[in-house]
Amino acid sequence: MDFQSLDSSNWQPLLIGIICENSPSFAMPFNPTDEGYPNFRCIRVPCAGRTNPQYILRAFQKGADAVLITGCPPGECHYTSGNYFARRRFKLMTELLEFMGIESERLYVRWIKSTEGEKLRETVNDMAKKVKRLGPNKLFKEEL
Amino acid sequence: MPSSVDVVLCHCQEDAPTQLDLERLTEKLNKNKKISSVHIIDHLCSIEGMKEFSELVQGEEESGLVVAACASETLRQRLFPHIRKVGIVEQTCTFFPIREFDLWSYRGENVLQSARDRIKIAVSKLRKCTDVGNWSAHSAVINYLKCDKCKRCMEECPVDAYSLNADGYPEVNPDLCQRCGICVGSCPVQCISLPNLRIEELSTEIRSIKGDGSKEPTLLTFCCEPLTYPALMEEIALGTALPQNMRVIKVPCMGAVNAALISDALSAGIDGVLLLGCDQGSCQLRKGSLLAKKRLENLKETLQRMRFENERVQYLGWPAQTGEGVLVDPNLCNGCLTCQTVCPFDAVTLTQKVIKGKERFVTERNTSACRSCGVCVASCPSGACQSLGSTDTQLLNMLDTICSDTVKTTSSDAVVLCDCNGKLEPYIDFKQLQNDLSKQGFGQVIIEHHLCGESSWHEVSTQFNSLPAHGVIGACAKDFFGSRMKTYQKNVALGSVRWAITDLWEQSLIHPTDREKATALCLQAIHTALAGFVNHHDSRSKDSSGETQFQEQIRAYATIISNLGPNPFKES
Amino acid sequence: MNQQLTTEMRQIAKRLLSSHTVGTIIGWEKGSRWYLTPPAFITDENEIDRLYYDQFAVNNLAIYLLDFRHSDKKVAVFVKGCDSRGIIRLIQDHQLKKEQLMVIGIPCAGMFDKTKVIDPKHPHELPLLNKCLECRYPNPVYADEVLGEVSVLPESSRPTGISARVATAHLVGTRSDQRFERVEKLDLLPSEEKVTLWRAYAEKCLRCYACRNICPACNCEECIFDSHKKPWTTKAALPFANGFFAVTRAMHTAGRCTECGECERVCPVGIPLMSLNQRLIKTINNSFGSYDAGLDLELPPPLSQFQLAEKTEV
Repeated sequence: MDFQSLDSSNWQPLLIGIICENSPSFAMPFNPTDEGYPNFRCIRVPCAGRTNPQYILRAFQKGADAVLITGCPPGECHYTSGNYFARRRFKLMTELLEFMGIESERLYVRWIKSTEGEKLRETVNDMAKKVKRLGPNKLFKEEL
Repeated sequence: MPSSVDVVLCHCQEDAPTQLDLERLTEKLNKNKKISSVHIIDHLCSIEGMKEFSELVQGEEESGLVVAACASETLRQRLFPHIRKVGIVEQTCTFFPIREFDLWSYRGENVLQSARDRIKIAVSKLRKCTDVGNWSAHSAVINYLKCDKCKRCMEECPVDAYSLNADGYPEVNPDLCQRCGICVGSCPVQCISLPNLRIEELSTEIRSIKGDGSKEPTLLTFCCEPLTYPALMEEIALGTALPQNMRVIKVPCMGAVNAALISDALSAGIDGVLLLGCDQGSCQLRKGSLLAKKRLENLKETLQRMRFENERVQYLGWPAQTGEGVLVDPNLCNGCLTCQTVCPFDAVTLTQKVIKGKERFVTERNTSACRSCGVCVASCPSGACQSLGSTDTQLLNMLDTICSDTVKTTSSDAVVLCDCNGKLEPYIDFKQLQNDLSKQGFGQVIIEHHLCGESSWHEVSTQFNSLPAHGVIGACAKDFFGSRMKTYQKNVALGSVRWAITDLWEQSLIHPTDREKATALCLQAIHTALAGFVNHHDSRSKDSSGETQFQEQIRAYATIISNLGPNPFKES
Repeated sequence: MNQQLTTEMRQIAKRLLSSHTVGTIIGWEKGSRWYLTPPAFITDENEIDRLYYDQFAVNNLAIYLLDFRHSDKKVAVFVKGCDSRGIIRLIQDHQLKKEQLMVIGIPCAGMFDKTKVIDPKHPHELPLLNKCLECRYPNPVYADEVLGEVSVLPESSRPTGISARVATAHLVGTRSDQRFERVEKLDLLPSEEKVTLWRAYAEKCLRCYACRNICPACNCEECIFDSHKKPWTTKAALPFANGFFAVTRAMHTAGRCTECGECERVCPVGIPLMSLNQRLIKTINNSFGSYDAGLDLELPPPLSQFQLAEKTEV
């Protein structure tokens, strides 16, 4: 699947997720009306507290157009406080990147319980819809 | 209160050494008046299984539901949308891990009897379900009719989430509540509950534990959700057998175990109660282990009055390391102690080392406390701390792979695919997958049909021309599958290969009707799994020879209880 | 005023060296131009006359203490207000111990902006650096000894000491309420302009690492950008990699930056690095509670702690 298609009308956004292990698996039947699903790929980390904010930059470097970070809701972290640290880190990272030109619609930080698979799906679709309007990301992109 | 309870049994496709005769089990269960109907579904985690399940639960909002299948978190997530869609309240539905607590942990002929017993207990517990109102809460709830304002909950809450309301009753701030259950454990009149922790139900569950009638002592073990319950599951998956009459109850924290439950257990005839919790590195937001130990101390008096020996009730700290651990590179470590400040489990220790001729303070990890959560790894500016299994290099490699759709392969990378006895074939084109993977440089690509069985692994080892360095398994639900496979792999001399696992069912579920797209997704997933290997690895392998520390300690405890003799309250 | 301070500096230095209380003195000396007063390292009593202080002694000397981490003799260092926060930074990061140091506080009347020099041969009027106009800590927050009658004040304050009058006349600290002005202005730009702006800066960056080398908060034994092992990003000065470096450095020092402004001053190509740090400080103040790094040794930095209920919801 080629995401960096030269033909801009065929451009599909690349959505990257860095998902904590307790977040729901996104294995739900793909609906033709789902804008996000086919272009959403993710990696798993043990806890949102493990997610280094610099991974977001790496994703943008390698061509991502939007990044989703998820973790357990506050009070429900499997490791009790990982998500609290993550919450602070990503607040800083989001505002810093917005300051440098990465629109807030490109970076999502969401707290999703393991039984809220639907919420994950809705978030991904929401992300895709918004990013399609914004177009491909240009900042930090690796030029080879 | 649900008027009836339905039981769904899963005819798991797993090729396990012990099998459960589901038809006979159904017969026995049907004799139970509390159970309204028993259904057997083939392979609940498959697409057809899920469809059958969703049809079954239509119109069943009023009953309780016990799903006796595997403990797979994946299964629960997959079935939850169907349950929710039909309007069944989460708390009237139990997923009972009959695979782990019966097939995997039991040895001997009474598998059927114990399965029946355990399902009966789950059913009894559901029938006691009350207070639908509490289930929509997201934090602790107090029954003000019983509360006598002793304020013990306020004192013991580790995050000070309680305050007094205008009437002088304690009230919870839901923004602060951590759902640890310590207040549940502290309340002398047992009037506090959490959405998934209600004392009346636990009481019923405990009182219906009967054992199998043999001389083996009945042991009730409380396990805590963050540490010992998953650790225990992992032990079982790796092959540890539990004592015959051990029953496990999961609680959010050891501090949630109310002393009343322990007295209940002993009055009901249970021979021993074990609190299996953390010892080193208690979750800093909870500190329940300290409270639990204190409560046991206070309980000694009550036990003496009931003429019970102190040794019947014990607290056991989990003896082994959980997760793969965190390594600190002393050459990079700055000694800034950021990791120590952020660690949720107090697992960071300081040590002096000589590096490049200079003496420096660097950090290390207390392996009994460290849970490999990785918060220190993300906080460390120099990258000295790395969590094995999710190092920076691994995660960055995986990010690169998913963004670029390519991965570096070598001839010593192998893939073992399982088509789940042909059940995955309608959804994934295995031949195509095999071709694509071979073309992309994977040295060996093998297709098996029943990878969960030991015999399949014999097959796999004969088909390997040479021992690969890395192997990616594409099979079914990941939870504990990998641990289970470790024993089989070792037995066929494939233990030295480093294995990663990816779940092919998950990919097929995303595109259940488009075989091509599902196959492409599987290809991607296998790439990502391969990218997760580090080139120069530093991982420690678990010493799996001989008994594990947990096995030793459990055996010792069971022996103590045996020697004390049966509980005088036990019904003969 | 400079003459008096210089004299006092030399007196203290003589005393400390001759009594062998310290092995090295880190201060400033007059450079080859009228607008240069670079750092000086004195180990010999006979050289104390090199020491000099004026309104060009802008270098933050705290960072040089890292070279003396393993020294068995004490080190003396002269600190202005902003520099002293760097000392606290290093102690809090466990890179130095108080017992290894002899910190001498010195009053500051503000530092002149060398970039506005027109005539390299003849002295002329110069404005103060912007950071001095915005300064909230003109007095040392920590010192073992002081000169120039400066007060050691661990909180935001007005200038004290013998140069206080000159400081006030030069308007030191008068714009401290507007210190986020630049950041707020940049924030208002539309996204495309921000992207263009920061791409331009990324293209300018040489990866000389001067900003990292001068920063007291950047005190890792081995920086991840020097490592040959970690595949974080290429060492080549490509725009995307330079952007990665800038953001990473800002995030690694988030909550630990003492706002000394040296990073931006030393950047050879004029990248507004402090705007990144200040943007993060603004978020910290708004979302986690007001916090100034390099003051309180007991308080953990914002990213090393959390509150259960916080207004950080995204």
